[in-house]
Amino acid sequence: MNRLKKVFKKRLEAGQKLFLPYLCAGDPDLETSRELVLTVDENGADVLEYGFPFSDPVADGPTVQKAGLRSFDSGVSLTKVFATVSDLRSETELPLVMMTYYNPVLKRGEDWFLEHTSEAGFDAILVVDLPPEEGLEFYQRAADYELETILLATPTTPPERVRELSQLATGFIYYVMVTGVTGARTGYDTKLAERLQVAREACEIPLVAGFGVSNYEMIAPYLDYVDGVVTGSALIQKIEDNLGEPDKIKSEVEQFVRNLAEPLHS
Amino acid sequence: MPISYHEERHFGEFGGQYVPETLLAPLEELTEAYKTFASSEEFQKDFKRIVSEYSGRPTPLTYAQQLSRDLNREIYLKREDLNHTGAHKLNNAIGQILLADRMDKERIIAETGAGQHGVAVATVCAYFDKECIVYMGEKDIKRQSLNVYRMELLGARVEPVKTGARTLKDATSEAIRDWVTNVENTHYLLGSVVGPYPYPDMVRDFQAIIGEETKEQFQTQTGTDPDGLVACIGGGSNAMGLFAPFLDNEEIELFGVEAAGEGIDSGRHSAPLVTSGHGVLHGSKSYLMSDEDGQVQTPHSVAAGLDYPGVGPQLADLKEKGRLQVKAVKDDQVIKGFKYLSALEGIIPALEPAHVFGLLAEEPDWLGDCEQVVINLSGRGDKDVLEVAEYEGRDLLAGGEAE
Repeated sequence: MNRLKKVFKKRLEAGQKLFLPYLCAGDPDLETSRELVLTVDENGADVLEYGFPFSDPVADGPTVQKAGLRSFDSGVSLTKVFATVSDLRSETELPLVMMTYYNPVLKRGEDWFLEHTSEAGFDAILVVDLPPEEGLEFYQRAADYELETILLATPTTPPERVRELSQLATGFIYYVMVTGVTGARTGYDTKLAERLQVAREACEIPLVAGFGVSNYEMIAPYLDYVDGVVTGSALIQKIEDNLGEPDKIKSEVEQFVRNLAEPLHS
Repeated sequence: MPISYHEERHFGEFGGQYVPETLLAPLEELTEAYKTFASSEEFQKDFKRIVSEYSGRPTPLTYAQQLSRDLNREIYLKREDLNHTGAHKLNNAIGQILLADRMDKERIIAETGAGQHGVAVATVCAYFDKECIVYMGEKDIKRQSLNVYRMELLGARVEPVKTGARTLKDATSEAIRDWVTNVENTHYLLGSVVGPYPYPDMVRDFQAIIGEETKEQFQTQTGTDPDGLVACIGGGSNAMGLFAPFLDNEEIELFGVEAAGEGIDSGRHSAPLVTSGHGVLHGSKSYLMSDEDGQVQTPHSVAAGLDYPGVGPQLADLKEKGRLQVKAVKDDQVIKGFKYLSALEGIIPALEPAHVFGLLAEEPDWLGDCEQVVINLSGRGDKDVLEVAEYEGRDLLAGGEAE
């Protein structure tokens, strides 16, 4: 069984929720980024969404955009990210999601991208701007490379579509809790709980929620409807706030991951 | 609607809706409104009235006598330079503001590079009393301060974009981010035939008034159809506007001129159709300048209006099918074209259409057997006079020769 499937099975059978942090590969540099993968693993992350940055990330707010720029400045490339992940596989069994935009996939060719993503040691793929209407074959072919697929749903996605998305995706549905871009927030729309509940009922595979989550308290009211929680910007902020101090970055990330993973696993 | 591939939202393999899930609902709402309103008699009546009474249409079709003699064939100029605000951009802005009004959207956002589309949007927002926010790259704000001031005079707020290369593509990304966040009360007034469906279709249809008038005027003046159509191509809205009503007639040849900037080999250009790599940016698949990892490259052109790394998906399809012939022309030759038309016909063209004249002055044979040709003169050159003078080493503001 695929590493991703295994960890979902383990947590859900134990009645626990999963914690899925997001990091941008190569942020703030390839070496620190590599170590942070191990840090989040050791401190309770169940899955890591490991982003390959894109020059024009329309779904991302300023924090993730800046992470991408730091990563480019550090000389990130697909080849380097694949090499890093491949190398990491001797040290960690943490399920990894390749999260990116479609142009990097298209430019290399869909099959090339899927093959190398899988061979490097990723377990799943999420392409932010490839809705299933444009990517039916791509998502079906991912199975040939033993990659799970992840599709997005949002508060404006009708329940019938959530059901269909969940029949196409094999990994999980990533529910975007806000209508907007990524970025830490202080609260959610009052209708969110109701909408999440409807989505949860329509969804036939695990559903995890993200966008805007900066601490456990924010997500706690919604835990009945989700199987896991993603945080990106709030975690990346720890990197931005401590640039030039790799040890500080590591300890802050460590603390942040624990603060979310522990209550989610209890 | 069950999930399936929508062929009618594509042009061959290009176009489509390559957007995050969050944008699918607003695009559906826009598609619905576009289909319901835009073709209705009442909407068309409003559109025709405003482009006539406010914008001054129809713009003339001018027989260019000296140019015809020089290029050894009949050349006609479609005079979008005489449209209100000085370029074809206003046609699309009027169409979309009418649509936004019917959708009850009170807040209008737009992207701009050179500022021409921004000025057009600010203009219609003033005319329709709508809130207007124009995203513009910080770098473009610096080099187009005149247009920034024009937009402010018209009541718009110009929002500086500090991400990425701080130019048009980054302003477009920022406008999309705003739209995703504020979609309830906001219409995104995209300025070219790019972006996700329905934008390439919608912008083309609003710009098609250029080609419709041309068809009628050409018939009146010559009793026939032209056999060649020429336009500069950045995103491609002036080209698609001219071409659209003539697409059914396969005998009419289509020519597009892109910006070679400092030269195709230098990498500093804006010629995705000529360099022909496929890609996906801002919601549609088309030709795109991007590197082997798919990172989008920073384009360059002396004409800020052509400074975009992608191009409309329908133009990509026309090129792919062999219907559209494309060449690119370098900045220095564009300056020659600018001066060439000014002196020859008494019309100072914008640097964007000056690409066409620069190319034809150098390679008149490119038009092959075409005997009666229409060139889309998409905008006037007043905005570019300072820049051209500067390019030639003259600082007009200092009142003399620059160093």
